Amino acid sequence: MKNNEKRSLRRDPGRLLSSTVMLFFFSAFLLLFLKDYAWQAAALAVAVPAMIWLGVNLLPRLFPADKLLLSLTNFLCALGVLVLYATNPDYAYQQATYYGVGLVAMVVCIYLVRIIKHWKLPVLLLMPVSLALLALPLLIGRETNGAKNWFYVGSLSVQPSEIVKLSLLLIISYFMSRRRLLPWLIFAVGCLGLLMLQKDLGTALMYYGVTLMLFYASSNNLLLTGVGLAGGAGAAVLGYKMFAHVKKRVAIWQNPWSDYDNAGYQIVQSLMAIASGGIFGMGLGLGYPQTIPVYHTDFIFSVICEQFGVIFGLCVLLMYVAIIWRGATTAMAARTSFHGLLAMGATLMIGLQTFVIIGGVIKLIPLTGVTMPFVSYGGTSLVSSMCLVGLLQGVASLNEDDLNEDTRLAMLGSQEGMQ
Amino acid sequence: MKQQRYLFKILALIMFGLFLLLAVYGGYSISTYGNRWFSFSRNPRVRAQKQTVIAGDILDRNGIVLATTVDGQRVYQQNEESRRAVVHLLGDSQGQVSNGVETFQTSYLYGFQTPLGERVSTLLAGETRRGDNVTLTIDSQLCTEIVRFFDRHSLTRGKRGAAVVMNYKTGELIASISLPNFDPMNITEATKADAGQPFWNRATQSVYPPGSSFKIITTVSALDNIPSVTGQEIACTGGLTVMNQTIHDYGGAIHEKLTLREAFKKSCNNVYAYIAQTLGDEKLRKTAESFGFNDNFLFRDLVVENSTYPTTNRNEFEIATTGIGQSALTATPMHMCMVAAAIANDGVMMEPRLLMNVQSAAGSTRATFQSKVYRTALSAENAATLQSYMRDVVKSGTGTSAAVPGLAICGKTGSAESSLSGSAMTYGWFIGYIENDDLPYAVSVLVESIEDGEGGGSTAAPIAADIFTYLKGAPSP
Amino acid sequence: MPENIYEIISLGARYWFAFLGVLIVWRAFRWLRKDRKANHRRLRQLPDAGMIGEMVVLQGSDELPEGYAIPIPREGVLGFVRSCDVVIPVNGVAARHLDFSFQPGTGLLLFPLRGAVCYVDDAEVTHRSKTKKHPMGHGSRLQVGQAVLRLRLFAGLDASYRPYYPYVPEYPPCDPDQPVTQDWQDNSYVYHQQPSPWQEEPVYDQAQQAPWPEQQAPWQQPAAPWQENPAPWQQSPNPWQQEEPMYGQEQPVEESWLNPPVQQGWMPQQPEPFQPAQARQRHSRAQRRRYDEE
Repeated sequence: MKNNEKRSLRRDPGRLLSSTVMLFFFSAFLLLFLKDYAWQAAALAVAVPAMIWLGVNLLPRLFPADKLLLSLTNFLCALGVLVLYATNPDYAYQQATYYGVGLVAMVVCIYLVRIIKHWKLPVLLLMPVSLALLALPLLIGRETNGAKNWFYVGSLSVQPSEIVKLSLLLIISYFMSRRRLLPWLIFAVGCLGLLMLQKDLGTALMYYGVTLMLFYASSNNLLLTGVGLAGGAGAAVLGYKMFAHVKKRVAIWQNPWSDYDNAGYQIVQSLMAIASGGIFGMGLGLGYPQTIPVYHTDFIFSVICEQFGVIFGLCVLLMYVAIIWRGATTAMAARTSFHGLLAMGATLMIGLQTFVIIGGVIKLIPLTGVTMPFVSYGGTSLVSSMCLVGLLQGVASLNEDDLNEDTRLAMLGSQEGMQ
Repeated sequence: MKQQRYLFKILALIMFGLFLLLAVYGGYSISTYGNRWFSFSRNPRVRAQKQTVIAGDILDRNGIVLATTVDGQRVYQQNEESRRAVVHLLGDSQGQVSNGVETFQTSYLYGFQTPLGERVSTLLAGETRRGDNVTLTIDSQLCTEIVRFFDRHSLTRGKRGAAVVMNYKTGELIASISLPNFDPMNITEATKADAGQPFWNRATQSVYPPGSSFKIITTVSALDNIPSVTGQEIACTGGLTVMNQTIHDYGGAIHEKLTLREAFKKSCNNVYAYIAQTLGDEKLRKTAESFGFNDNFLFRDLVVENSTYPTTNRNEFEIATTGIGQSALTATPMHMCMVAAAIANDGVMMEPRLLMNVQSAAGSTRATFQSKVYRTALSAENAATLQSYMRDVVKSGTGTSAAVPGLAICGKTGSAESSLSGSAMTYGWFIGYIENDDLPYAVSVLVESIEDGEGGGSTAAPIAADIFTYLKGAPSP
Repeated sequence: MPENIYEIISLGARYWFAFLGVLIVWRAFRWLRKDRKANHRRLRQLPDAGMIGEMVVLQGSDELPEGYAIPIPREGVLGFVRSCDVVIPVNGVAARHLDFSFQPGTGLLLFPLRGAVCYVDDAEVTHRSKTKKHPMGHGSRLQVGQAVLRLRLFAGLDASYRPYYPYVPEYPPCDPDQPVTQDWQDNSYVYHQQPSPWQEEPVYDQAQQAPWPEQQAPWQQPAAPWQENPAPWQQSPNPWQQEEPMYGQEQPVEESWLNPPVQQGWMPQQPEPFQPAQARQRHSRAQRRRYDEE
């Protein structure tokens, strides 16, 4: 019996997974330490696994957290730190800081979802606040890479569209669960319009896709969803006709090799990096990932593919699939419509964002400047992704609480019946 | 809630589908285009590897060293004439010629494929790493000779052009030249500014209207789709008027009544325009596509420009001129050589290949390559019919100047007119092969901007005859 | 480290990283599958999971006979069609009739969809009315279309709202010899074996009702002989089946430094009593030899 228990403990899937993740990062940072004996790499080799261990073992004590989700998000965040360290250590230290901040933000989000029972007031407050936030870059923002979606608070750059995506989820899932069409429609259209004005097409595509999918799930109205889809397609065609930079993007997507030194430079370098990596990659710390233009944000997936190979890239994709699976399971187990929509929205947001950026990197769809959730460099992006997972985790913990309560009641009932 | 739960499941499945699309598309594109992306001349990884690794040698099928590295410098053959002849196949160390062996086989030449154990032993021995040696299927002497053949005849001397010789049973490329060429050891600003574009590989990268040589494909389509076409006689009045435009014969000849065999032999435009009209666009395109037109050529060792059968702006006149190889039809000399090879090989089109084997610097074999069927272009019966027709062309038709005593030469001439590049230009074609199991060679010769009044029979066919004569004397494969 | 040596180590290490990546994915998916199975088992053992109560049918139809109890989730849709959470196949019920949601402390709130009407304790509720004024509590009666349902909340759920009916015990103290009182009949919402009080004598109308027993619903048909004497494995509880621990029960888990005891909240609930470590038994070499010989 004792032996049996021990074996079951050893085969506990949570500990197996997190220990593998810890081993991966320990060995990877150790390898980078061997390269130039920088103490920072040695410190990260200890700190990152310790952070993962703490996250996986500490958080379940506060509330019934989903360990699988925790392990996978930790893996992806730490992978971002690792890849950034291999390319540009300065980015990696900042990213590690943001990673810690993101963990705290995630815990805060979990508590918010657990504590707040009446969402009407928060949601009504969030609506004007987030619209104002989204309009800020138009007034005081700076233009980078053709999109005007940043503004600076002191020395800190903030991308409000990353923050607003949380409130968008809360708002649309609240009103959809109450079967109110107009408020969320106005809000979503306002958000999309502001994003269009900022020329932030990737984020607009993401918002649009998530809103449409959640509308379909909450209403099961295929007709209106089709109308929305057609409207989106019409807007896309209109945008293609009207904006020169959209036309340029599409032309680059169709044949980046025709102008490989100017317009198609980014995507050509990305494809070359992926092809150079081959199946197993060029080796960690080797190769030339810095030659890809924005290797630290948009093209971090091609850096991963170059360093670790296509197989590992596929593994990263499958990890996102596992996160989506888990998120969908959580959403389906949710007890109320609002929580279900919230969890599914967070899942779809993560999934769609990943699809949009990886599809752009491998030339499946035109490239749009979205970050890869958890992995890409960028404080706002990382923290908001962690907050999305926090919403998901909050719903999961509520589900677990409810199920425990049901179990308690059932056992109570069965004991009474026995007596 | 119940319904919402069900729809969540559907949404999750949609997301899985999207990710599956990512994985499938990524895997497919990397496995098919990966080597092309990797060997692109702008890849900084290759440039960096060139600093640390000594590039391997390139040899031809007879063991002649075409390129080697001496003291970190890339050195080509001693004889300037020989190194100029193979320069488009090999490419140059500066990367001016795109997709030559020097760039396209970077992963072998610069040791990207070296296994880990070998690298450890090199490290322990303290040597500099060497890339792998690549042996090609080409005969460099023949390449040199073909350039001389162009100079020998007054009608082709100094002209631009291309010639391809391949083994039609295995698909091995025996020779491929492009004129004008340049000296890879001495590239000057004048070379780069040359109006003749010497860096351009005309055998694989340029597309030309195939002209009358396309009548092979029209004939195949007719044999397939028009019942008892071989027994009919078709009238040639000297000019077929379609949509107020008249299609004339070469030299204004009037052939009266012709069977298909005679029409093929005399290369009668009227009859073929009529046949194309009878066939219609759909059937002709289907046959052309079975020969590889409109296909994305993804050969393992060669980058060949795609051939096109036009799909837009199809009116009656365009269809009729397609039958005689004009309209917006385009093909490379390499592809037309494959067409002749498919007829010779009883309808089976082999994938052209350039690599014979790859050996490591120490001499162990790294990789060998097998012949592969590209596609079955036509049935064996039709191929037999076409073989006899093409034999007639060389015996007593338009291609008599390609005949070589002692060899059964089959072929088809062609002269195509094109005004795509602004001024009207005539191209002379000859595609053909030797009907002999010991000498299974197919040839395609293209001469650009020939004189008025000349055709493929008087310009390209004599060069083909010279090539056949050379092959007759050469040792069989 | 010299560059060429690092290069070779790194090239060797990439296989290790690829292996670890595949392992992580494999373990994640195995975990997902395992969790799925565990969840299914858990829900099988908890048929009432997620339900806040049940609606007892007071007046229904052939498909939904009187006395049936329909479990009610916390939120959902009530309507005629199968995709609803609460299916009421009775005349006068719309395909999707109303949304309901349970608020702890208030009761079950009803939100009729556009054009639909329902009656909570005889008060009309439409999509315009202030639905918070008409919550359903334990014992409330709901009338949708021709169906009449009575809500029973499960034990342990707190709903302050009570209907204005007088308290009626579920099992009235009644003498079986005595005739049933009128008061009990009116307020009955319990499944009763007796014929419905408002349906005095079942009138058998050959034209309207099912003329032959095959058309009877399965629950109306007499039990088959094998159902009356079930085999041991069909009995409940199954005497052959091994006792399975309930999922929610605490599993004994060995504690170690890697697996510290999991507690809810920041503080441990009760201080652990101090137990002195047992003194390790020390044996002399002679004693040990003696053990071996024995």
